Amino acid sequence: MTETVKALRIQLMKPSATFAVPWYSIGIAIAICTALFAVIGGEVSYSNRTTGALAAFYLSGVGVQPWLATQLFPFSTALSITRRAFVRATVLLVTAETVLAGLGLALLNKIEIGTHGWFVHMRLLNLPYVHQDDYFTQALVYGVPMMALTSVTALLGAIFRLFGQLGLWLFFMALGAVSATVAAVLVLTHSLGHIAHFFGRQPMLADFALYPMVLVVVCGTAWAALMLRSRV
Amino acid sequence: MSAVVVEDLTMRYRGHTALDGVGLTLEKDTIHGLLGRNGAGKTTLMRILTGQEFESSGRVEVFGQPPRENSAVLSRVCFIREAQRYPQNFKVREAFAAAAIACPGWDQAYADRLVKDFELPLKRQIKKLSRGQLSAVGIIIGLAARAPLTLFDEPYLGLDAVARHLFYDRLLEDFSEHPRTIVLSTHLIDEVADLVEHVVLIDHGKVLMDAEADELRGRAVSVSGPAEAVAAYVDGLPVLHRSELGGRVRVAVTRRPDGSGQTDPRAAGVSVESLSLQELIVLTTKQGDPK
Repeated sequence: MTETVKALRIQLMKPSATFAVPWYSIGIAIAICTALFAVIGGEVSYSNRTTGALAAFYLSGVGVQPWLATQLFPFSTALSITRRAFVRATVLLVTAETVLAGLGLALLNKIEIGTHGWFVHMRLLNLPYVHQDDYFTQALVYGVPMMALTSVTALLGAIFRLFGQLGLWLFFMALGAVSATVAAVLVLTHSLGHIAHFFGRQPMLADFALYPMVLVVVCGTAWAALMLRSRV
Repeated sequence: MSAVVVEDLTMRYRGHTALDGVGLTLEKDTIHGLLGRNGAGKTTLMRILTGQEFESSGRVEVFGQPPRENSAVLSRVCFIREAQRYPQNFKVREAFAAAAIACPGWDQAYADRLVKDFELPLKRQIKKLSRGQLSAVGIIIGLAARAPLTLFDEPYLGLDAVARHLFYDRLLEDFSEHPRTIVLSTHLIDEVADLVEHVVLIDHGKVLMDAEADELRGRAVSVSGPAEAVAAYVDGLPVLHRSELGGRVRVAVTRRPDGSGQTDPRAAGVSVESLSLQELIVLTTKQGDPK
C-alpha cells in the first residue's frame, strides 16, 4: 500500500494537470454562457436556452490519461515505482476524479436550479435528458460517464505506450471494422430498430450509469493488463 | 551477499538476441563500470536489473530477490537512463520532489548542493531545459537518492567536460561517505578509468571481460620495435592486436598473470608500454568481432 500511496502522491504533484482542467473548463463555460444569455436577454425562448457546454467538462480531461501513460509512467518506474503500484494509484485517482465530478456537477446543478439558470434562465447542467430528482442519483449520472471516458482514454494511452502510433492506428481500424460488421449484421437482420427500442426503453440511470460502467470494466481491465506488461 | 547475481540471462525480442547467456556478479559497495559498444546489451541488462524489462530466460537476483515487480527490491534501486523521460510540464523542483517521495534515502540538503553545483534553474519547466541540464537533473536524482543500487546509463549526454568531471568528483566524494553499489555504463572509458573498481565488458550480448580494474590496468602491454625482436619477446603470449609500419612492429599482448618468462625489454631490443583501460577494452572488443 505504501508504494501505491507514493505513486499516487507523484500523480498528484500536478493537480492542475490531473484534476483541475475540467473544472476550469466548466467554470469558463458557465461564465461565457451566462454573459451571452445576459446580453441576448429575453429574445430567446426558455426552450432554446439550453447549451451543450457541459461537454467541455468531459472533453477537457481526455489528455490526462495519455499524459500519465506516456510521461509520468516512465518517470515513476525510473524512480522504482512498480507497475502494479502505478496502476493501483491510477485507479484511486480516477475513482476520486469520478466522485468529485459527480458530486461537484450535481452541486452545480442544484445551484443552477436554485438561481433559475444562473440568473439568465439558461440550462447548462440541468439538461432534460439527464435530470434526476435525487442528488446522489444525479451525481451518478454525471460521474460515471466521466469515468467511462477516462477509461477509454486510458486504454488508448496504454495502446500508444506499448505499440506506438501504428498500434493505435491498427486499434482504430479493427474497431471500425468490428463496428461496421456489427452494424451490417443488425441492418441485414432488421434488428437495428429493436436495439434502438431496447435502449430507448431503459431507465435513464441505466443509460448514463450502468452501461458506461460496463465500458469502464472492459476498458479498465484491458488498460491494466497492458500497463502491467508494459516495457519501459 | 552480492548486490546483483545474474546467471545464464538471455533476452530476445523480434528475432534479435540482446543478451545471450550472460552471467555476472556485482559485489556490494563497489563502483562497477559497465562498458561496451552501442547496442552491446548494456541498457537491456540494466533495464532487466531494475524490473523495467522482462528477461526471456535465466536467473536475475538483486539483493537476493528477483527484481520484477518487487517493491522490496525496487525501493532500493535507482536507474537513471541516457534518454530518461520526465513529465514535460513538470518544473525541475517538482521532478526532485517526486524523487523525494519515491526514494527512501533521498537527501534534500545534498540535492540542494548539487543543484547549486550544476547551476540548475529549479523553477524552469523540464521541456525548456537544454540537453545538458536534463542530464544534470538525472545525475542529481541518481546521487541524492542514495539508493543502495544506483545505475547510471550514459548519464552525461550533452554535459561539457567540466560538468562531467564535477559529476565524477561528486560521485566519488559521496561514495566514500555513503558506500553503495553503483553501476556506471559509459563510452568515455578514459574518463572513468580511475573511478571504477570493477569492469564488465559486454559485446553482442555476451560478457567479454569481468575483472577488477586494478588487475586489468596491468594486464596488457604494447610491445614495439624491430619485427624479429618483438616476435621473440611476445612469443607464446596472447596477441590482441598487431600493426606494422616499415620494419617496425607494434604488438598488443596480454601479460602472463604471474609475469613469468618476461625478459628485460631493453636487453631484448624492444620498448614496452602499458595499455590504457580504453585501449584494452577496444582491442578486446575488436578481437571478439567476426572476421
